[in-house]
Amino acid sequence: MIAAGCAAYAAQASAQTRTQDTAPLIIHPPAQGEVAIGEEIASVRTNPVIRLRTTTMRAARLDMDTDTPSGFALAKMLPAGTKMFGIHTTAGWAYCAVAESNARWWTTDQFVCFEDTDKDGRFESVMRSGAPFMRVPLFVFETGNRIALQTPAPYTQIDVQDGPSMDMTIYALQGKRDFRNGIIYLRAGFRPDDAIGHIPIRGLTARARLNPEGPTRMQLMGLEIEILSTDEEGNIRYRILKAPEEGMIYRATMSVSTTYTPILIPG
Amino acid sequence: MTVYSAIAIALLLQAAPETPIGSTQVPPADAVQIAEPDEIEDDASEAATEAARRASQLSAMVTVAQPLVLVRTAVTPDTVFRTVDHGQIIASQDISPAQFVTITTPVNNANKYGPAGAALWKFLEGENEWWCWRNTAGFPAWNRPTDYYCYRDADGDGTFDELRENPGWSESIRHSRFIATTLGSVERARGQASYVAGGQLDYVEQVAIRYDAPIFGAVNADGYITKGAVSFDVIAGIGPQAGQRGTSLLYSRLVDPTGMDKLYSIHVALDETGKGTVQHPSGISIEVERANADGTVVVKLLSGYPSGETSLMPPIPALSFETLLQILRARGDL
Repeated sequence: MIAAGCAAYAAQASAQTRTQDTAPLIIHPPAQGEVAIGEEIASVRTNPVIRLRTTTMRAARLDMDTDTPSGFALAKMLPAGTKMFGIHTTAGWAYCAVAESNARWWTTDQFVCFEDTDKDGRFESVMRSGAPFMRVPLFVFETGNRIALQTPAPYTQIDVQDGPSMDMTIYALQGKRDFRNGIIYLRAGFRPDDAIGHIPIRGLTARARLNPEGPTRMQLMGLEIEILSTDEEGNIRYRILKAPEEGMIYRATMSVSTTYTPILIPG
Repeated sequence: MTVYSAIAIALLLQAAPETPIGSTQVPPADAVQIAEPDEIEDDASEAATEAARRASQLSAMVTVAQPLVLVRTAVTPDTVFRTVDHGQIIASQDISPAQFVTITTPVNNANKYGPAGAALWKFLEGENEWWCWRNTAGFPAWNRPTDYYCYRDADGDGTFDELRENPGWSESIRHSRFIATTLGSVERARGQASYVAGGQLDYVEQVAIRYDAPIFGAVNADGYITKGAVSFDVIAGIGPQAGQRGTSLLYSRLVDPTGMDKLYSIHVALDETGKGTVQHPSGISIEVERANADGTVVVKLLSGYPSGETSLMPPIPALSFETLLQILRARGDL
């Protein structure tokens, strides 16, 4: 009877969605000469049109070897010189580094994030902050419980250009439904830490129909390209007319849906 | 993701001085033919923009359920610009419930629904007045937030005719004793409660404006942000508290060290020179002189909530359920 009741109740599992904004990101423009402007490029669909270096708004460096309470099979000590990127907490900033896994069959790399709430130049607490959200290197979904450091860890703020970064990538793709329609998309997203694949960001898209009379121009985030031709394999011939000239601020929303299955425990 | 933030983002898309980064940019018309809507894949940004356009066309505004609040202190406007960082509170005002009634005859199970002598504070849902009670004897009890019970006297005869229940655990405002954003569902109790005007509750809390961050924009060569927006959060609650009860898991999930919860965001659009001003319907006005690429902002608070009785959360466009779902789906929140 109790089991039947439990089963009936558990069937009413409810989904809940939790969202969290990323820290604001700076998508840096490419360095002068880094992008070949006007050069004709025959690209296979797995190659991005452009990679843009992306950082958060702050970075720091540990000044002393620091023990961390990272979990099982993760590095327990971060050496002096470890670079960290700044993220938001409710009331301030935390700086995150990666505790590398030393047993990949068990766990992936995990973030450890430090806080200096009294702003004295030393971190006094640390948080185990989980794995990168969707494997994107600078995305911390939940910072976790604060744990006091036995010895406050001194740090120095550094230029974000010298801190941790990741790639934003923009791909040119043909529409999946029918290549003859000639719909071309520019899609921006982030490259995951293992550099396989592309995590697209909703809304960061431009599209156009291929102009049969001549080149097709497209723009996205300051990138302007000219599509010259396509083939049925999905490959695209294009040239870059203009690369982004300014840095851009971008903040994504991370979202997780979980299904809770309530259970009754006779007590 | 609250209803407020979804709508705020939708409206900001309307108010943005230039197409935000996250949206599709239209190529030159002579070079490209834009795909017909029925030929394209679902596109989040277009859906969001369309939803925002429809939202802005709706003239009807609604006010979400909320308590009538007495703003007890005024802010002092800034005379000079100051630099603030993420998480920094730029103004705080004391608030409390504004009007009270007292139960004279309770319904059955008075310990649950409110005993005789319990003071109820005024709550507004659209045009309707409600009077709410909550057992706050154990407040803050983060692991067991108590339910809100709200009564309505529809015919004004001194007895309550309707009762609603808002289970506290589902309320997004967790750090306040009297602020909630919904009345909850219809509750049936035995008996009929009567009341008299007047009463008192010592619920003095705070509403504050906290700087959040730039949310989009371009970084110019001088290291500041133009053609974008910065965000401020309006937060409320009892304020920082020490030594709360609760298990570590629940504590970390539910307890914010600031003791405040976000009510809504105010976005200040930045023009091509990186400056911007907002005059929010709540009465809050903020002028931004400059937003820096390190996340700090140079700002002047021009005004806060006016002193006296007010609603903390201003009216929002009367979105249909379908439009709201469209906005949330477009943002990936559903």
